[in-house]
Amino acid sequence: MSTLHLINRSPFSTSILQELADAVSEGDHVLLIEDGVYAASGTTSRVLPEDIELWALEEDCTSRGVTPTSDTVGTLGMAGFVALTASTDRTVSWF
Amino acid sequence: MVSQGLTYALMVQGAPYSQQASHSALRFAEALPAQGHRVATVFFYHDGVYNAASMMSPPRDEPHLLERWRALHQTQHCELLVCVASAVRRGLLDEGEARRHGHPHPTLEAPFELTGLGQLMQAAFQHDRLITFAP
Repeated sequence: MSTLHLINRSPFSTSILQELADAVSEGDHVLLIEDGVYAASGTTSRVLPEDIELWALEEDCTSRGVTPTSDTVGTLGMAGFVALTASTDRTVSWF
Repeated sequence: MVSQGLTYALMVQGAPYSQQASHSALRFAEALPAQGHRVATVFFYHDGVYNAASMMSPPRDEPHLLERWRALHQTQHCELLVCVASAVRRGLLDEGEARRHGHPHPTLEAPFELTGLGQLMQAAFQHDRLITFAP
């Protein structure tokens, strides 16, 4: 069963990414939205296992001036967000 | 890969105009029909219940969230359910609750409905996906 994990909190105010790293399974996706996109640039997101697909919502990156690290973080629009919730079995929000 | 025609339940826990949850949920819901899906239930919980404040009067050059929810109800025929326990203690009362608590005017009106957590459970079981928009 594949899970989409939604993160809307900044990595600078919570340790959710570290907690999530212990909870994800192979085939899961992680989508950074809202202030969560601050984890899309730099090395913050490297705590996640490499077989996890990591995404950032493009409009939230744009509104915050965040440029995702392109080799580890994919970007998605709202249509891509919808498609991910449909292609995974369930969505879990971490906050 | 993508299954077609799913029904969604959205839970909104963020307060309007202080957190992004309402905007994220609305934009997500409005993007569903393009892929053949629809939102069937929106459940407002905790500070999210303020999204249903019927006297919400934002400046005219800002998004009117109440109107956006009403429009969503009209276009996707979704129910707009508000947790009664979260709402009443925050002063969001429909006509019945306003009367019961001795207030002259309701502060919550249709298409929003006061409901219990049972309806959230029902929506979670009934629909294909439940997405939480956190505060």
